[in-house]
Amino acid sequence: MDKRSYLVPSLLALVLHAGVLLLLAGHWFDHADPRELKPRHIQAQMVDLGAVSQALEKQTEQARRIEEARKKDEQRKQSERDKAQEKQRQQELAAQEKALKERQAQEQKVKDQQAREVAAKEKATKEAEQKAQTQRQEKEKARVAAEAKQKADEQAKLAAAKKKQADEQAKAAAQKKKLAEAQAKAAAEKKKQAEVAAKAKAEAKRVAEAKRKQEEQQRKEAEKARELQELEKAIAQEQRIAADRASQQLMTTMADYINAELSRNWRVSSAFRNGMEAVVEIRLFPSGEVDSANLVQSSGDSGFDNAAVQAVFKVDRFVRVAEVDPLTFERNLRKFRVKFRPEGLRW
Amino acid sequence: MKQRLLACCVLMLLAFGARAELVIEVTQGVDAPTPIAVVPFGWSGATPLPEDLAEIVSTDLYRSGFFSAMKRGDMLSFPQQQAQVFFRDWRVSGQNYLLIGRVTSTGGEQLQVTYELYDVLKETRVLGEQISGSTRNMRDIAHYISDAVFEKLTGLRGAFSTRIAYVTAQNQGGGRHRFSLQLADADGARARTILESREPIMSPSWSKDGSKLAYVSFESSRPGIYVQHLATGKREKIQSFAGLNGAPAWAPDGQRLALTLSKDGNPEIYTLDLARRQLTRVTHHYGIDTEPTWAPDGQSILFTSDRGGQPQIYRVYLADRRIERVTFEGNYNSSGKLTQDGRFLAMVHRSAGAGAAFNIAVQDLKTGRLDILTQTSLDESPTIAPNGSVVLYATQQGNNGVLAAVSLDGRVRFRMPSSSGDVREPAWSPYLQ
Amino acid sequence: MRALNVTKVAALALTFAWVAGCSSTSTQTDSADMGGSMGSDSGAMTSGSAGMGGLSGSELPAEVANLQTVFYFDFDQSSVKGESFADLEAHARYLASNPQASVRLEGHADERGTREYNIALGERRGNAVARFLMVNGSNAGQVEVISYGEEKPAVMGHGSDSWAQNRRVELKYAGR
Repeated sequence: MDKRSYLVPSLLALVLHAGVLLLLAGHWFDHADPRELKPRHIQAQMVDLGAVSQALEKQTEQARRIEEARKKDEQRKQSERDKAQEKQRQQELAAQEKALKERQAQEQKVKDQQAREVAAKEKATKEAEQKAQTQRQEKEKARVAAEAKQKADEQAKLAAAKKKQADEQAKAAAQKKKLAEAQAKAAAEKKKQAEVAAKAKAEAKRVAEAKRKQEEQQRKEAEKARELQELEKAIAQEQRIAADRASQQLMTTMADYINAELSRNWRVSSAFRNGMEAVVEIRLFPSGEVDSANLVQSSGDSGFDNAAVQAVFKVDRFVRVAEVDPLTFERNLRKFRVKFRPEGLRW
Repeated sequence: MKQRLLACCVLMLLAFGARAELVIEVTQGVDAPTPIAVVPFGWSGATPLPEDLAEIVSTDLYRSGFFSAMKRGDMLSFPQQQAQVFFRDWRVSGQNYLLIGRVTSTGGEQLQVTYELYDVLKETRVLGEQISGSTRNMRDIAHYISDAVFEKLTGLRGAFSTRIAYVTAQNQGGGRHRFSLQLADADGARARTILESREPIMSPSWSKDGSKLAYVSFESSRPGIYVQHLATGKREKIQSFAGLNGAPAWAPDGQRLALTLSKDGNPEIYTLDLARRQLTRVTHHYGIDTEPTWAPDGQSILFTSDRGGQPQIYRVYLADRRIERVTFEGNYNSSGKLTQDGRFLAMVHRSAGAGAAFNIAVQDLKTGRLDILTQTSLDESPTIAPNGSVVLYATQQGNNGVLAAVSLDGRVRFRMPSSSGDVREPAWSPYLQ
Repeated sequence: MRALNVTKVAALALTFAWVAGCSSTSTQTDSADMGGSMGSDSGAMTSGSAGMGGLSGSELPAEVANLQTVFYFDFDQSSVKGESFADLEAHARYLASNPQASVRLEGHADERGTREYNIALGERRGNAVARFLMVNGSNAGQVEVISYGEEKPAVMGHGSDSWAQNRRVELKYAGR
């Protein structure tokens, strides 16, 4: 059961790692997948989600590594282990964050490129735009950018139309050559002014667009930060789970050990009968030495009860309990109960 | 992903569950007796005491099957007082309990015996007592101490102060025999003859108060059933019909005897009301019905019958004479004896199959499980200690019958010290007052 | 009892037919023994064969002096073997013609099995011989059966030879 529960996550983690490597190796990820038939925006979306889940998977993997490291460290002293673990965890966290940022930068690049492509497509066809509109978050961003560009374009068109009008007016003015040169000059001047104005307008639009872009960038950044925060939270939780799991596994080992020690020292007399049952509460010192052993549930047979308590005192010291970290000891082994319930007796 | 989360949740729950209460379940132990050290008792008198109390106690405890006694040669010290006890030493030598004591003279033959029982592992005193006695009843004092220690540690009443009766036979040549009925301590010591005869003596049975013995004697040239008062030696002939008069068994109420008579043609079980001399026939079958033994509640009698073609043990309920078969395994089951709780039936058993030996077996009447306790070949006459811990029986050693004992679980076996001649038919007394 | 053979059935039938008139229930007379106190011999006592009628080693009447007096049985069996018929018939004839004579049949078993059960087996063998004698002319009052089970083996030892010699009925004439 244990083996299976480790095998599956390990394999998953390995597979996902391979996926990350592939992704990081180049921007041709989408070409790499021959089965991918969806539009590119969706691919972009997929990459995003994948990255997040990969990050999580990686953390799981790391949690597992931590757990393994802890298991190896069991023999070492607690303080050393704690320090090493803390250090390792921080390193790994830093590495994680770095990887994450890199990935985000990469992702950003891809997104930008795609946004540009999308903008180009928008110009060519509105259908693509409508499709884009049905997409979520990322496509929304792209659409906003595209709209901005479209607006700029329209404004440019407007400006061009105005220029045409000015030209026509200039033509009309040329027809009225007889009109004062000053008028012509004025017209030229006017035209010039209009051109300047158009230029200024375009410039203003560009500035506004840049500003909007910047804002969007900031918003995105904030979002990234939030994601990062969530990620960190997830990591912390993963680590806690891993620690619990390690502790749980340690306790299974310790329970087996304590059971074996008691079994070796429990004298089963011929007066015992199947079905007899006594519970002894044991208190230990961190050294594993028996502090006390008290009967908390009698079998109704004083000989049986005696033998159960004697078994605990006969062990005297559960040597391996000394290896347990203080937290696990306090949680599980400072005080625990043992049920003595013979099986397979003749009667 | 969902599954992983679920798995994580389950793990966390497990972790929390474990944290809330760690319960370890121990189901296997060591099938070995509890080690106890019985240190020689201190004595400062000028002349050595007639009996070695510690030795008697040690042997008693060992023979119960519940304890292993430390050898004197392995002891590092011989403490007589608590101040002289170094628990660590006894713990290191593997002992769970320690019994020390001292004897002081209180003038003439009078003695005062003090004993103390320590839990070596907990380093506490669990029992202690002062007993007054004399040099003449030192074995009684020793058995009394054994009983106290045994009961304290096992929760079972000790049966060391009980007695056994048995029959010895000596072939004097020329067809002449010498039979005797013996009475001894449960450990075989202090045996004395209470009846001698040139004709067979058989089937001693204790009254429930331990004051009388019923038995079969052929002294009048025919078998008769007698009752002998142990305190006075007075005896009376209870029954001597034509044919068999055998297998007396005292009822738990002490008022009746079950017995086997063939006066009506073939062996049947009867009960005899001793006060009213009233005989009641219990079984009606043309086969052999014999070896009655009472259930502890007095409501039914178990007996041997070959009504099924071979000897097996049956039970007859006295209220309605309903009969049920009790044993099914093997082709010979007889001479049944029940433990005081009525749960276990000790018997002579022969497995199916050619050349199989006669062994002592015990059947758990609750589960039907039968265990063969002995490995010798002509084992018979099982009798159970009143606390149900040990079965005493007769077996052959060379050409002589000897008594041997086996704990009810078959773990401990030992031979009783053999007296002269052929020893047979042990009968373990009830608890004595 | 399942092994009741033809001989026995015939013997039984003949017994009832032949000796119906003279058979008296001996059990009634025996009940007089009931409650007979043996006095208060304190503890150990020796009770021998002083007053008993058995005569181990005493001489046989001349008419039966050459007859066999020990009859053997197969394991777990109580049927009289064919090899014993001739001598037993002779004993029966002697008893029939000497009504004052009486015999004691001592049944024995080998050591295997429990003592009380073996006492019952010995009695069964004694009864088989008694029936044979009665079928062949002796009177019920002339025959007494007593079983010693495995208490008095003829030979010591724990082998099949010893056992075969111990599974027996000994016929003894009582003194007059």
